[in-house]
Amino acid sequence: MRIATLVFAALMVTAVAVSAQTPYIAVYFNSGFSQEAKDCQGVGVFDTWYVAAVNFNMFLAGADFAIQYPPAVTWISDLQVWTVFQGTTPSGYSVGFPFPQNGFSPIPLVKPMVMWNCAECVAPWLNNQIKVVANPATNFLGGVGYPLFDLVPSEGLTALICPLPIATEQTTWGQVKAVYGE
Amino acid sequence: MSKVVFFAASLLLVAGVAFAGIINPCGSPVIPHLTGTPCYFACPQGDTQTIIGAGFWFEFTMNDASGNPIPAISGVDFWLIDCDATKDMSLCAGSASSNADSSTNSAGKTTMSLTTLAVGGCVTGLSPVVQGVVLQQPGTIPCVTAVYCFNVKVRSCDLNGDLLMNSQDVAIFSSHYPPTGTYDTCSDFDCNSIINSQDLARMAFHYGPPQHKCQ
Repeated sequence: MRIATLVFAALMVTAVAVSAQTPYIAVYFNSGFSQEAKDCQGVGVFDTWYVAAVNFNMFLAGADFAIQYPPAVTWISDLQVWTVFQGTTPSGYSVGFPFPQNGFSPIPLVKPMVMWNCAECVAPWLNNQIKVVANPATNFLGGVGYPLFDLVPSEGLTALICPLPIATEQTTWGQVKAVYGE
Repeated sequence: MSKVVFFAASLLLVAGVAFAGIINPCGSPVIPHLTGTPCYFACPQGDTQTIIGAGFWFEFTMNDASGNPIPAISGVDFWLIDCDATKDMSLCAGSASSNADSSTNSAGKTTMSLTTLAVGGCVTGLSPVVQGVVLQQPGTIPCVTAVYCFNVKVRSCDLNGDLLMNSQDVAIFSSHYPPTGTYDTCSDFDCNSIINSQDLARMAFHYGPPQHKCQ
C-alpha cells in the first residue's frame, strides 16, 4: 500500500513538473502578468487587461488566439502592443513581432479594453470565466517559432471574475488516514 | 591548294577567336536541382534563407559558340529573373539580387546555391541570366530554343514589388488574411495553401521597424 502511495505521489510530482513547462496564452488583470482573478469593478467602469504568451521557452515570431468574454464584461477594443496584427480578440487575433521575442519570459501580446457590467460578486457574475481559445479564423492556439516560423501549439488559460472560494470540509487526521486504510 | 587550306584554316581561327569568351545562350547547359516544387520566401533586404536552404540550386557550364568552356566569369555576373509573363519579380540592384557561388572554373563550371534572393513581388518560375544573356534550352546557333524556366515559387513580403516594406504591403496582406480576406497565393509565404499566423509573423518580422528594403 505504501509503495502504491509513493508511486502515486511521484506521478503527481511529475505531472506538476510537466504542466509547469506547458506553453500557454493567458489573460491577466495586471501588467506584471500575475493576477488571474478579479472581482466586479462597477457597472460602466472601463478596465484594461493584459494578454501574454507564457512558458514557451523559445523565441517567438508571433501568436494566434481568441478570447471568450463572459457576461460580466463587454469588450470595447484592443489596445495594440505590436504593429502587425489581424482581427480582434473576441473574433480571433493573430499578431506578429518586428523582431523575435524571448519566450523564456512572458511576452505581451495585446491589451483588451473592457467595460464592466457588474458592481459586486453576486449571481450571475460568480465564477465568470475568461477563456483563451483557438483563433476561429485559423483554428490555431499558440505561437509561431523563430527562426523556423513553425506553429507551436499551446494551452489557453482561463482567468476568473468573482472566483468562488474552494469548498473544504472539516475533518481529522484519523479520518484522513482511514481513507488510505492505515 | 595549300593556299586554300591555309585560308580556310585562318578563317576558322579568326572565327574561333571572335567567338571566344562570348556566351552561347543555347550551348551553356544549366542543370537544376529541385526538391519537389521549391518555395522561396524573399525580402528586398536579402535576409532570408539561401536558395539551397529552400530546396534548390543550379549547376552552370558556360561555353562559347565554338563549344569551348569560358573560365573566370565572375559569380556576380549570374542572377535569376522571373519567367512568368503574368507576374513581376522586382530585383534589388538588378543583377546583384542573386549571384553564383564563385567564378567559373577552367571547365566553365560554377554553381548557384548559397545566394539569397533580394527581390519583391511574386512569381512561379525562374530563368538564369549570365552577363545579361538569358540562357536557353540546348540547341544550335542561331538559338531559337525556349529559355530555361525552372519551377520554383518565389514569394516576397514586399507584395507590391516596390522593394520597400511599408504599410501598403501590410494592407495587401490583410486583404488576403482570413476570415474576411480572399486567399491569394502571393501572401501564402510558405506555400502551404493556408494563410495564417506563420505568414503574418514573416510579414511582421520584415515590416519592422526598421522597415526592410534593398541594401
